[in-house]
Amino acid sequence: MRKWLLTTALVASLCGPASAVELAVWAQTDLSPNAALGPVATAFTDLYAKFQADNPDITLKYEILPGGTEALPSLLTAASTGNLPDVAILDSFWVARIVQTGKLQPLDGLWSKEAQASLIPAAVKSLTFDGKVYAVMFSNAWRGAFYRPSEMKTLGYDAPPSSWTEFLAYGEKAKAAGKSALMLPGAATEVTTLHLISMFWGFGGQLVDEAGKPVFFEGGNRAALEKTYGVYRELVEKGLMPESVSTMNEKDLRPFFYTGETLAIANSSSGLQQMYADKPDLNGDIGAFPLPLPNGELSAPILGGQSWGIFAEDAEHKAAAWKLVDFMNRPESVTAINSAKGYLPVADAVWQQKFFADSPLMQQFKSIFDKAKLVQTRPPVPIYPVLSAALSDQVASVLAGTKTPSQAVDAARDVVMAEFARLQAR
Amino acid sequence: MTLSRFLNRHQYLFFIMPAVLIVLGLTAYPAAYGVWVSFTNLHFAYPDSRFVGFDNYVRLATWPALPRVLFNTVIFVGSVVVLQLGLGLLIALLLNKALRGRQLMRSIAILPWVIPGIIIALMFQQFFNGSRLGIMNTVIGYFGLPSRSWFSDPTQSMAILIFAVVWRGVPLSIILQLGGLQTIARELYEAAAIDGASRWQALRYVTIPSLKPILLINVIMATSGTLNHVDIPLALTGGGPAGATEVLALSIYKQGFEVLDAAYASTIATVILLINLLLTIVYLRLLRMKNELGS
Repeated sequence: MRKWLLTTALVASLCGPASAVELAVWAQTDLSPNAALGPVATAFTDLYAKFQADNPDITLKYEILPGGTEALPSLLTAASTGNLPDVAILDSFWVARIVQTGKLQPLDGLWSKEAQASLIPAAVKSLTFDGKVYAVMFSNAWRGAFYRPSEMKTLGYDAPPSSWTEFLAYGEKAKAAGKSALMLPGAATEVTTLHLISMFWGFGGQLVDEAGKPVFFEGGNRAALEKTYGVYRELVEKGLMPESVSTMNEKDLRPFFYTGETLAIANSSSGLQQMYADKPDLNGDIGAFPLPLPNGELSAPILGGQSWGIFAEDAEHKAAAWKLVDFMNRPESVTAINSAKGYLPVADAVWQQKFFADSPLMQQFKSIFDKAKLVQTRPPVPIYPVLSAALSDQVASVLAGTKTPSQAVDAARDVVMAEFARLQAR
Repeated sequence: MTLSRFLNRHQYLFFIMPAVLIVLGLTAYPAAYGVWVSFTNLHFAYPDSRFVGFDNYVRLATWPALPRVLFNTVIFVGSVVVLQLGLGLLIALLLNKALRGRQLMRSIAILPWVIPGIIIALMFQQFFNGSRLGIMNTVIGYFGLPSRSWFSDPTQSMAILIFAVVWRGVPLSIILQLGGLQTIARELYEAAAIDGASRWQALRYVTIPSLKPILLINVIMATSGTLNHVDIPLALTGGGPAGATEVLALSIYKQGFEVLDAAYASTIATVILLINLLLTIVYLRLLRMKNELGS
């Protein structure tokens, strides 16, 4: 009898609770227990295990989404075939499109207004459509210039340049030392566009109007874009940046930074962990600054990161999904992920966590966001991918001097408006 | 004939049908669906789509970058196929000789084929990195030459891309051609030797004609494989500098996953499918003609 009881108890414990809710979770590989970056994999494994332990009535079943923009078609296909997960980590930039499927659930009644208020306002606003918020942003990245304070000191600087004049003077010193002052990515990719629009916004330009129509080539926006392309050309003409950046992405610039061939590179805060892995002595000897612009302003930070969204429609799965989202958005959970991945927080409570509060570099990022006059996301409009490609396509010609900034704006306009007219006629 | 008698006579259908259905489901259906999508305006940024006839094909034909992309594709595919076949034959001839360590050399020669394309691209990127950390720059540095940015020059960039794809593809040619060489009867060489044929003449009149069917299969595989190549061009040059290495397959990726224009991407894919079919028909016709002439 005792043997039977033991066996029954063992089988019952192996099977788990009879009423367990199975929760399908989708995330890109690099935001899952399968992440290539060891600390990220550990963070997700530990957090999911803790969630399971705290919620024995919920069984997590995570699946991997393709990375980058390839994830969006996968989600849209799943939406059209009814195969969506209960909950997923979404690139915030896709949320507007996913909302159009009608499958992403609004978080009304789940996410309190007080909790929403603890995030950067733009982080909530950018995921709010028709007055309803659809996803919880938990990470952000900052793009700008990275430098080594120890190298900067050798040129006689205790702080990075904060004005265009200072930047040019610093650049001349770097050149005299046989180094580039700064390397910006120039390959025809989205990363190049991100650095470009950061400057463009600093010059006061806007890409599209409120209706989503491209306006970057009109009036003050045109002047801002010409000035932005002008910065690229001027850096090359003055010998402060090599023209060869025209084929490079952020990761291609890093070796030049490691060898000291350049004093600063334009990169992303999310690349820091990789930089530390490549060159451990950078840890503790790296600083960041937004590129000062000739108009006296600074490059504007772009808001954009990952967010949690819920697809589950039935009350039971929706409640279980929110439990997970809520758990994963606790300050200590977000800190575990963001510190491992190199993401920045969007919530005050996370900035106050030890990892972020004690790090001078992290506080430097916080200060950049706090002081920024403008923090906004890329415009989530259908024409954006074409616009982005058209803007970055011109950079190589501007760097080479085969197109003037004005010609580059015209070329981008011609491509974008032809496509815009076609899309409008759908 | 009744159905039961038909099924009795063709019982093999039960056995081959699952395989046929799987193959059709995984190849014919996606290809046909891709062709259908090319006649719509499906765009991932929009929730709706509709039939638009040949609009996408007209758009492709009038695409300003098309001449450049086609030129790049011809150079890329042509160079890769010629080099892959030539080097494959040369190495297969060497490996076919009864030399010491032949087995080891055969295994080593096949290694690049098992390395994923993306790894090869990253390897070559490391090799030709423009900083002082780049392996080639380190090598030329030993000779007192300054570091150079290898991917800035359009011709050089295309040459490196071709080199990387050939390096990966040569093992396939070696495997195929080595297999073909081993099927050539020794008697043919002995007869040629008795007739006073030199080594070159034996190669020209015995080896190459005997290898023709294998070479043709190799040409078909190399052509379609290179036409469809995305991973190495995407990760190595990304189509740069200024579109100098953008090939058709890369345009599919960019339109589908960057611009999100699924219909336009499918249009380019359909064109590649047609080019592949056309080339395969031409090659097969050539093979049949040669066989008929031979017999």
